[in-house]
Amino acid sequence: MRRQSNSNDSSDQFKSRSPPPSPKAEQRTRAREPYPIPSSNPASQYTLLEKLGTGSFGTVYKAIHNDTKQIVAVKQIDLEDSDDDISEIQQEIASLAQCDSEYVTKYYGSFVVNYKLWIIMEYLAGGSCLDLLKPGVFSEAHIAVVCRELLLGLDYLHSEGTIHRDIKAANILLSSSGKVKLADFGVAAQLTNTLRHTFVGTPFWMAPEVIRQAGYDAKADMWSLGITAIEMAKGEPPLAEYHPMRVLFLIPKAKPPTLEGAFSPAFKDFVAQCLTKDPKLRPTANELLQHRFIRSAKKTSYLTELIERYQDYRARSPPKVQHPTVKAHGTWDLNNTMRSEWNFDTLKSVSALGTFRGTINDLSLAHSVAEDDEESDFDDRRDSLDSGAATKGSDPINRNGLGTSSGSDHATVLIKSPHSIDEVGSPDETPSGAPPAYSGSVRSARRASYAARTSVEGKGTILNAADLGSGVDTIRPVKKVDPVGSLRLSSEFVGSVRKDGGVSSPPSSPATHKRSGSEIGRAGQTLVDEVILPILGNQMHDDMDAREIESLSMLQRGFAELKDANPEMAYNVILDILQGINDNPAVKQHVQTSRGLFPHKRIIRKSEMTSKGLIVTEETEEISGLPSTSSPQGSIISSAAPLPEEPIRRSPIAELLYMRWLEGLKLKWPSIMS
Amino acid sequence: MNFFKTKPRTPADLVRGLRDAIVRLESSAPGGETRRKVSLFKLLGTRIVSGEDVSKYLQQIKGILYGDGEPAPELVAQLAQETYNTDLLLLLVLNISRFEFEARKDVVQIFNNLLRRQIGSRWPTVEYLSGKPDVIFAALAGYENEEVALNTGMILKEMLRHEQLCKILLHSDQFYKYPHYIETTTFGISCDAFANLKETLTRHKPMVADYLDKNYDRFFSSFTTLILSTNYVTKRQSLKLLGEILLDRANFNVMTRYIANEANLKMMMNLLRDKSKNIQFEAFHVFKVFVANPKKPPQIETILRRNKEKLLNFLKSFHNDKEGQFSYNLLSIQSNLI
Repeated sequence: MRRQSNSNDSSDQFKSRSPPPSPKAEQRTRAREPYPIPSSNPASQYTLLEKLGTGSFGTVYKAIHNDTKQIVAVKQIDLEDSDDDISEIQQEIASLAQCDSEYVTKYYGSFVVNYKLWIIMEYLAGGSCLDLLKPGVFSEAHIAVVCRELLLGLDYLHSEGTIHRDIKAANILLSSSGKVKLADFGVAAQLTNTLRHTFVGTPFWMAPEVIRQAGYDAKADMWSLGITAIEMAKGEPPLAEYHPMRVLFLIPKAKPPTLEGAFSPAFKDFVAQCLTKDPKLRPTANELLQHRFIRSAKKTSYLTELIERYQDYRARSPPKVQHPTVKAHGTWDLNNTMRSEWNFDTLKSVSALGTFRGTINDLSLAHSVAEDDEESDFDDRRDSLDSGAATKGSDPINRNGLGTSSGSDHATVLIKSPHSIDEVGSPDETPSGAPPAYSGSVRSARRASYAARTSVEGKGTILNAADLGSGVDTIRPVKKVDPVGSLRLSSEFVGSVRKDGGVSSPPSSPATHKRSGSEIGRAGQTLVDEVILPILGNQMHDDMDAREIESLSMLQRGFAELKDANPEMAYNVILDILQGINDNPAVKQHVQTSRGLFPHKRIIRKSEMTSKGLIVTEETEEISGLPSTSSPQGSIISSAAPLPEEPIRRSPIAELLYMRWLEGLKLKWPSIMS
Repeated sequence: MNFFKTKPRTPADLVRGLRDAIVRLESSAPGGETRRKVSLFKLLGTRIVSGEDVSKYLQQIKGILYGDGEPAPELVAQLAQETYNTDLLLLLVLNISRFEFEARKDVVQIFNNLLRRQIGSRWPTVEYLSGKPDVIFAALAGYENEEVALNTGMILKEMLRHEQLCKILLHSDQFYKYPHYIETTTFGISCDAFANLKETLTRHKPMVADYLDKNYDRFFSSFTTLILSTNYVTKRQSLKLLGEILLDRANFNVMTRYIANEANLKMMMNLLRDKSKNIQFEAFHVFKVFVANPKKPPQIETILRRNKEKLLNFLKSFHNDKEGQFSYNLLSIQSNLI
């Protein structure tokens, strides 16, 4: 492949080998490529034609290189607006500059004009795969072509020792003739001999090993490719309905997603191969090029159908009238691409350069827990200033400081929502819970500071919701994530789904009620802590379906919260459930026969308790007439019940349960219980 | 190109073959303007052949070093020894701009692989390079050619990880070419050069502190040109680096000298009024050290006193939208001013 790309243009070779040219000579040798020539005013070499899109990181223009009349994409980044990570931007440029492949967007050069960095890149008229998905999902034949081209691109990158780390439809661009190119190397990394650990990517597309930070390599891209294949087939990645914070928890935990639906076995197998959980068993890009799904793929020119379809779609659906100003209402971009402030739907090929990283992120308060490792006498380290005011990761309300405004005179930052094909039909709907979508200041409200994110000292950075954005945004690299802190935060998002408004606020934890003084309250707490939560926890195990895990997590969280909010109510709910089981003969019978459980046995047991001992055998028949067992261990709450030998009860639970059951029984069978 | 069929070749053969190919490349294209004046066709005819030779040798050498999973230690040892004997590394760095695009990346990988080679506690390549400072200087000079600057920059960065090699550069006159490279290149290269300057100045702290102490005047007169650069990125990055250097405990002596100098204070006070908030911010980091100094020299004290009202007013409105942490700093500074 390398030879291919080199040999088809010998003059190109000459160019790439020529020694440092004087500007004039360079102009001559590079006459056919729109490179910027170093000069006092390099910007004058280009004429901006049209704004393609805006993101927090800058603006992308379609432009013409005056000398060659070639169309290029110009990405302008306001460096004054980005905090202290100029070096990160440079990293992106360096990665791109080291690529010479027909499968990777070409990079022509970059320069600084005032506070703005101009990055000159290849313009791709076809748009991103995410754009092309707007009129509808791709056919299997189309996906096969895209996947083959992606594999070729990844094979090149990986053989060059680069990991892309952010493969997704939004980062795959098409030329007008259907050529497929990888874009947005914002988070790409050079492979080293050792595994990478940096936590980076876009949640829904991230490989389990990246999230686990157990060390990963180029195989991580293969996982993302599998997710992207599903994205192209279904319109959105798996688990799209969940909050990104939860997704980070679910991906490593759950069994890998599969491609469901009316697709060929070859396609399904291809996806399954990519989504092999163990990276060692996951095939390489080169190996997958031999997959039957790929070998039968058509030529890239076939993809022009998708481009035409998208153009038709655009022509048919007139530009949506948006809210008059972005500042007032925010532009809730439903497609996770950059937007201009006004008539964004008239823009062509919005993502000529792929994702603009970190929109919501930029608005968040930092939660850095980076610790200064040493202090000098006058030390007042940068970290302490850079990390935001909120340094506690436990305040979910502040975390979504989306509305934070400040006196900054910088460009409006747009907040984007998750992309969802289903929502394309009604993009005018103001999403519920949409925060006021503006804030100019990056300084006062920022994501975890660069210092914190790159710190490998201390506990690590606690990822928070804002760092993740809506989950379709790329996460900036984080060297070391504090697993405990992040997990704690993650659990706050149990059950929160991505709404139209992107990140929905996690339910705020209500103030803990301090009235747990009552007996029942204490019982409720113990019941939840010692019985319910462990039982739910034990149910959860690896390689379960993501939805199962999520449901159990929701139950756990629900009980835990109810316990905090109102332990008496928690108590009553649990007992009502037990009673409900008992009151429903069919259910009761089933429970008894299938599990050998006798919830009603407790009734008898308790009545026995009055005479001190806890004998559970013979009384069963008295109540239900069902055959009894003499083993009390099966009882759901047996762990909390005292042993008969013990003269003193350790927990008030059994007593309370007993009282409760007794009351219920008195109502139902007054004759027996009187 | 039937030479290629006669493998397997020994490391010695490969290294010698590569040397010869590089020499052919050099002679067939005697650098500079002349080369560019020769017609394109002729150039392609001669140069590409040698260029491809070089690429293939490099690939084979890379194959030995990285192997298919398990590189053979004895082959690697032979290869390394052969590169030392023939001064191949210098040749590679000097001629990298003549190589094909992918071959340049191979050079970086080969170079860095050899550099990381360790036998027990010894670093053979580092030892070798300690006696060959020209290699280091050639890698630095790579910034003169934008096309290979990122490749040579990676080689340089790898060398700077080793204190011996970093020290050679720091103590050389060539070190003072950094500002030139940072100032005259485009963004990507300039940033890379700056990153390596930072690496040189911050990785091996005690060694650098000693150097800065002894070469204080020369260093800071050079470094100040970066702080006063008209290039926004250079200005901002160098100001930030200045803060990092001064606030590092290892550089305590250097810091005390720096904050005793009224010209430095004036410069920072001027930078506080820069249009860019980021520059203001970085300048403030340095400025506060002047203020916090418990033993302010009289001239510093005088300047601060003379400007007390203005400074207080300025600081009051200075980034008053910032975090509480920042206000706290301001408060402590202000109380020190009074």
